Amino acid sequence: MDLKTFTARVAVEFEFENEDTNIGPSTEFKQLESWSSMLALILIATLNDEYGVLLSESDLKTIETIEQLYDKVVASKSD
Amino acid sequence: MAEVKVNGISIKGISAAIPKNEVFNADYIHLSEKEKSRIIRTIGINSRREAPSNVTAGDLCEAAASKLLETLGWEKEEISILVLVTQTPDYITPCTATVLQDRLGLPTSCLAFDINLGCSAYPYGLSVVMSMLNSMPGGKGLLLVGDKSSHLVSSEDKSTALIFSDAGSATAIENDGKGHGIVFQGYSDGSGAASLIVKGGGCKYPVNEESLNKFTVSEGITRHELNLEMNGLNIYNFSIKQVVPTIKSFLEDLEITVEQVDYFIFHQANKIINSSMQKMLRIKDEQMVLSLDKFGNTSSASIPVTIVDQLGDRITKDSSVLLLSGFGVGLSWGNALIRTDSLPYIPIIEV
Repeated sequence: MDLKTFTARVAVEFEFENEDTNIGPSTEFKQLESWSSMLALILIATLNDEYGVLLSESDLKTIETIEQLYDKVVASKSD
Repeated sequence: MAEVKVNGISIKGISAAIPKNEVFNADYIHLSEKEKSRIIRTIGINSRREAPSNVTAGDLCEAAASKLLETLGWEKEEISILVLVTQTPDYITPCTATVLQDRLGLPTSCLAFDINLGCSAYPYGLSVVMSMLNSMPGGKGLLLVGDKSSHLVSSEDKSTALIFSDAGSATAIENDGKGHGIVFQGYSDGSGAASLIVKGGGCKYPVNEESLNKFTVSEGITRHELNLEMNGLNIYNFSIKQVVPTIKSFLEDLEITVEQVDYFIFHQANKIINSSMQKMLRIKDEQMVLSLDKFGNTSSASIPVTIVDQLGDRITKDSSVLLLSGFGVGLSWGNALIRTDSLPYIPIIEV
């Protein structure tokens, strides 16, 4: 896993909401119009199913960008 | 860990009743088409059942129990236990089980009581009735589980309105000295109580003149104090972090593998939770039994409803090993291993 493939994978979920969304590592995803509690749940489930990392609601509160999300997943995997 | 092991007790039959009134999530009017289709795809629920105002969880359980007793040809005088597990009783008091003892024509020598549990109801209920019957050779008991969740849900709350559904069920259990009984392990974590809760209406926050005032929590989530509220993210985390490891350790304690279980019947929470659990436990599609798409999350009744609807004609001939896992409101969860042996086929009943 690298940041580029991770960003592309996560972007799929945001683009499903709005195909004009342009997601990059620096995107502050919680500021997007499409961000919702449902999307948060989908994101958490995707990270659990595909990367084996379970993040909590409080984890999400401290993360702003896709790159920070990636870093959290990498750190959690190495724990 | 709390474990119950009982031998020599048999499940003789299972029946389920749902309201005739079918509601389609595609017809939900409080969301945009796009958001609605994403939610439906994520939760995996296309239609649900909603009971009319004059039909209660007790009525649904009564219909299921009447049909079950008629099919089995049990004499009512022989029944000594009636346990109802519900979170939507007909009255605040008395308990609904005693009311149903009379309505079902059961003798006054039959003990009857309610248990207040939801998603974990069925494995808990089986363990309670089987444990009691264990000291009554030849004894017969009925376990009823059911809920009218539509009574609690706000139609303007997208986090619950498209998920919950109404149903009741009945299970006939007998101490025949021959059955495989049950192995059950139960757990609780009240620190998560607020993740799935109806705050108002009890003694902590009694009903008052403001109880029915609606308030908006966020876009698409409007409810009042007597409605059910759910934090879906917390429930997902709970299911993955706390429930899945206990299913793994349960299998280890039983010294059996996933492959040796014929069917896994989990509480029908929603697709995103049940799919993640299936992947983590490496359960094959043909072992994972689901009824979510057409009946939604029927709370306490979701496991027996799924058995009756999806396995009803498959467990009539042979002996099957079933692993049940009920998890959710409380937070409460329990895992049970049971073996069914040539159960009568009773198609799901519409009330």
